Amino acid sequence: MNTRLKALCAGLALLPAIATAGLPAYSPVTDARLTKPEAGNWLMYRGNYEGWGYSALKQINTQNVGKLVPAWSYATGMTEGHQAPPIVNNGYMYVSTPNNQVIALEASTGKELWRYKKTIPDELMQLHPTNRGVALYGDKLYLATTDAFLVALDAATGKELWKVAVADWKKGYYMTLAPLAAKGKIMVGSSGGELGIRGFVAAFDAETGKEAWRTYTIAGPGEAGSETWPGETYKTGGGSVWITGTYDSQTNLAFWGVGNAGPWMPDTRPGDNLYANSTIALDVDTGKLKGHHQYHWNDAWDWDEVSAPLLIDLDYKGKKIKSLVHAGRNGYLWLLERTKDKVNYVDAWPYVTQNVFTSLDPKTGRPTYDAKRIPGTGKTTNFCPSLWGGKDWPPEAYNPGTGLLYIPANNNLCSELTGEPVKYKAGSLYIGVALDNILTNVRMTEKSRKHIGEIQAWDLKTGKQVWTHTYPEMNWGPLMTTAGNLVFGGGTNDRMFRALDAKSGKVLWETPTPSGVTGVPSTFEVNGEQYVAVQSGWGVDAQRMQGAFDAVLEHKTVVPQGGTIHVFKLQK
Amino acid sequence: MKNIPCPACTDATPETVSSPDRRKALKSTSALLLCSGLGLARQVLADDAANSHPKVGDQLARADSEGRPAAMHSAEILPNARPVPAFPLDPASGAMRDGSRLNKVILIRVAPQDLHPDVQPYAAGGVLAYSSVCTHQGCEISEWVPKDQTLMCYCHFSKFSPGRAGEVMAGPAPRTLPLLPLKEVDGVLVVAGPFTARPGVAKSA
Repeated sequence: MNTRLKALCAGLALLPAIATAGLPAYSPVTDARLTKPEAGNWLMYRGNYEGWGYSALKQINTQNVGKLVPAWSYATGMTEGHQAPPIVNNGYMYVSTPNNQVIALEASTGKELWRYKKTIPDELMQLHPTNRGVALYGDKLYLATTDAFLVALDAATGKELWKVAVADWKKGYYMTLAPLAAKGKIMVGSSGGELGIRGFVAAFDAETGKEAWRTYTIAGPGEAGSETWPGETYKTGGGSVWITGTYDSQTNLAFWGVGNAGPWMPDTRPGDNLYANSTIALDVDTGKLKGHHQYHWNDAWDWDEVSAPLLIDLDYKGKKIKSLVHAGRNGYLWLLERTKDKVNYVDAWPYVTQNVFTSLDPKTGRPTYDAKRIPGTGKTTNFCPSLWGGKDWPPEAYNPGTGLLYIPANNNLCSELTGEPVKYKAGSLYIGVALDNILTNVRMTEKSRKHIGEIQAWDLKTGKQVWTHTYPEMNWGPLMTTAGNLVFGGGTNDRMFRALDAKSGKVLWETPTPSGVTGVPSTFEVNGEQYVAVQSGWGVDAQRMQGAFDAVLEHKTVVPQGGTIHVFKLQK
Repeated sequence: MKNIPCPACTDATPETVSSPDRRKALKSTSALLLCSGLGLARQVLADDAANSHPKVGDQLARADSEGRPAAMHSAEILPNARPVPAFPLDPASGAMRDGSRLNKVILIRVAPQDLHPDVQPYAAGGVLAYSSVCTHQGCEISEWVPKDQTLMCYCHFSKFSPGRAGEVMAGPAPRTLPLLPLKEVDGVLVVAGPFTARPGVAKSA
């Protein structure tokens, strides 16, 4: 090796050290830290295992939030849905973007430390070009990719340590969720409910990537619930898992939301179709199914129930409950009880206009349907809420200080679907509703012409709605709440990112961003200063709903695409 | 050296293995190395009719063909209708070249007055074949919008004009839809040349 080459190699070897010069050494993420995360960090998708989207930081509060100003911003260079929360660990920030990329930055300055890209195969069809974040565990970072790989990177340098194929993308499996890390395992699920997949949650050894277990969300032969799937329908029954599970460290159970049964028309698979449209409780050591609750049986409305329930210990109407709370895509707000080996129904009620359920069984919560509102092959059916539901994937937030649950809802919106016969072909769409019908499915009502998007605040002790903030059109904004008595969120087609008073719902601060905000917000502290972070980058289903609105409304709305990371702090 | 795309090798890259089995991965890696380094494996793989690119003289068969695929006639493609998905058909072996999505085309009939002179040489009796893979995120282009006479991708609403050489009329797609030149031989649709551009998504940085 000649001298110049030697010098170059030496220089390259020093690169990571130089890039992180202003930062402390990377602090490994332990089970203890994940179970009780420090207020100054945002270590996972929703900030804590319970799925609250809550931070105990309160330097930024109702008194001073009006003085929020940009600390820095950073263009990702990508288009489409930028939905991942900026994950922060002692000054290191990690942001995932569409197209299998992770950007590591110095959290207080926005200086890039490294960037990882995994090439997407040429033939892959990206139905949902997005990624919802990374997981941190030990000294590694984990990314679930669009081509259905789980990748482990060195969190300090970005070096790829291993990658494993979780499923076959050629058969319609793809991943968009942030992995869940607990007890030495990295857990993921797969999207592909519109492509005839059989959903699952799978766990991999955090160190080696070796698969530890895989539990199918669609019961197959020999499994409890298999009797709810006629013939071979379980093989293509959907039940995708595309939102991170929540985790109870005391019982070692992870709670996952399961997507809708496929294809869409219920007469193609008569039966309850377990465990589609359910929450399932899985033992993290073994993957064993310990309990479940099916929110609605034999789905006909594309009501994925993929959002994992929030774990909240509360006094509900005078009774102490270790609860699971879920604002369903089916338009009902569900209150369940979790035990070490069971999920029990407690109560549920509609939080948006819902005309499908006629009643719920008071003991089990099983709904009875209005037959006129059940779509089927060869018939046209109108129903509310729309196929995007009362709340789609954007997560709710819970604030233990106010005791309120905040829901990013779409109210007053209905859909019309016509079912048609469909045949399965590996890797192709398997829906049973014509695409032009899906693209124009929304039906406006007198009420929806006045307003659709909402942020709702519910008192979980009483089951009463405390306040509602409304928007003229959609709300696709994930929520975050803080001990500063604030609720943060975007989600509207006017590109705004806002802070609301958590007690009253009053908008205290807002700022337009370059694109629309469908990113999960996060907050963190560096050197005693609090920051609020979020990605702007409209795309995927928010864009699709906009397309459907443009098709039925007189006016059209342009929301430009292009991702940016935004970090705000108080003006000094 | 010019970078020759090697889609026939796609099946052999480590990215497509469905299990993390080490031996399999090693094998595929070797195939990939051979593929990019020597061009020898490429030749071998390209002999597989299903996986090779469309060839001049290929016929076309409906993508949803059952049993033995039949050569399509231009008269089957009706005006102002949803595009018909098809794959090239090797007339010698009778095999469809359906090993890669990037070989898939959609057939559409364009009225003579709407056909731009630049596109005419690519049409066979008013029928055009476009890549069915959207240049935005690789979704299937399956919809016909009669109102503005465009082909639309349902994923993100990109619209392309078939009469204007696949030009992007709306939506996020960054480039035109590649055309597969056609000619008509006794009423049968026949491939007359390679795709005008590489089908599929333009990779972002």
